[in-house]
Amino acid sequence: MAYRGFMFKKGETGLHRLDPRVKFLISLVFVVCSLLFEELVVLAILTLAMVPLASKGGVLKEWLSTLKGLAFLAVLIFAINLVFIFFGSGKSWGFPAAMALRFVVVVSSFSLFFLVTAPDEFGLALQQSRIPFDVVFALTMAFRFVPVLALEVQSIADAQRSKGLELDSGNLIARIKRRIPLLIPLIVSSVKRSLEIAEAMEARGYGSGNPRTSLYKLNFKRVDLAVTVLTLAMLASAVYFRLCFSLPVFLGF
Amino acid sequence: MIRLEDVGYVYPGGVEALRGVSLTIGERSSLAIMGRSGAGKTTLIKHLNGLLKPTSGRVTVDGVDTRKATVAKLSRKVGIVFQNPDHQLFAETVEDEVAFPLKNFGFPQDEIKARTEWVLELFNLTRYRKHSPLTLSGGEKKRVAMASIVSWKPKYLVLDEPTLGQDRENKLRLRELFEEFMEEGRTIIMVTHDVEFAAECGFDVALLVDGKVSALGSAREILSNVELLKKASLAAPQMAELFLELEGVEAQPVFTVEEAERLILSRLMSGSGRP
Repeated sequence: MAYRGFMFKKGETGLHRLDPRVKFLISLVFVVCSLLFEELVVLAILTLAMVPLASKGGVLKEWLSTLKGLAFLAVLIFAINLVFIFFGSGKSWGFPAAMALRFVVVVSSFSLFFLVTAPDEFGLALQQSRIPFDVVFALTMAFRFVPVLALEVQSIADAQRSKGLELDSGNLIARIKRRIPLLIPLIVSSVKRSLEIAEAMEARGYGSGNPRTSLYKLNFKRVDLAVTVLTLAMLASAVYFRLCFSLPVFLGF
Repeated sequence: MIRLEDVGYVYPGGVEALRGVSLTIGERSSLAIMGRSGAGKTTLIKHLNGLLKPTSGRVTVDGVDTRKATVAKLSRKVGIVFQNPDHQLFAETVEDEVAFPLKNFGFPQDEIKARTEWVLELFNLTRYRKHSPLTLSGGEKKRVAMASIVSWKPKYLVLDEPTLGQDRENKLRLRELFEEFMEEGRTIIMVTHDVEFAAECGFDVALLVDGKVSALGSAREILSNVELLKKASLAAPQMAELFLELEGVEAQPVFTVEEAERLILSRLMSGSGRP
């Protein structure tokens, strides 16, 4: 399932041990770079640059499954941009491909981030960056419940298929209509669960007003500092190249 | 007849849920599948209508290999009521909810109407027919989920924890339904932790331990064997436990209040002095 590309995979690699804030910065730099350039070759290089990182983090298989999951939307973005070019936006033929690839870079860089960052670690990083706890908590809870929701969808589909519902036959409209018996129980049980969790949390003192303390503290190590400097240097050079040079013809279209 | 031949199942994550399960469930029979949580009971019943296909061995329903038929086709014969009703209910009214599978299976309009009436009455739900199923209590939702499966009268009715959240009256109704179904030549299979209910129904019992069938026999045989039950984290029905405590392992199994009453009275009459 596509969501697996965003699920944390336990590991002891250097990438896993990096401070979550540094990992977030790396992903962010990938995104910013993809927005700075619309040259197909640069975007392809950005995508390929993630391969050794994913491989080092031991999550290459999962990261590739994200790419696979993105294929449909990427093709859609390509097709829509192609239509606009057709009606004379003045852009070259490489532009739609670049836009599709930009989308791939943005999503897959965050896929890489979530694959090597535990949700709690991510929450801790946000919390220690002084983001309000309520916001952090809502975010980390949302991530943590993705696999639960996926399991629930499976159980609901099993129950409805057992009542003779055929999910994968008929035309597109019929298939969408047949998803309603899946969607309603999913929404209802999600809302019900969130209310139950809220009550259970309140029953255990959530929101009592005292300042919260953390069991773990994040330590910014030397290697974190080194990687941060390197990442920022790469960002600076990307900005410099963008502003001061026009890319050689063979890189653009 | 449903046959499971040396069935093994490993979930995609690598968890081995079933290991070499062989079981034959004949027509007009009744079977309770029991065991601790995580023993593989729900995984096993999901094999009966092809929701899960065995990773080794094979499952056949009336001679049809579940690998070679769609879930919808197999479900017409094997109706499964899952444990959590919240995963099943979606329609605007209880009536629509019950009619949903009948429409899926292409029943004619008047038949849908008649069956809906019958099954709502059977499960004590007629007064809720125009209510949203989502607003009912847990036990009522469970009954709606059961009603929607029973509506098409599957040849094999499979129920996952049917007594969960049900009061005495509804348990009695359930027993009556089982008897009615069996009289019509249907088969009932239920997964349950409710040893009292399994004993009262007098089903055969298959004990599942760590994905394997560790014992298979009549309710009397299995539910009075304390050692076997211990392995499956179950206890004998309370009445049986009481008599085992009073008379030792040699005691004849006593499962219901009526049986206990008869035994005590006969002992008193014969003046044996023992309860």
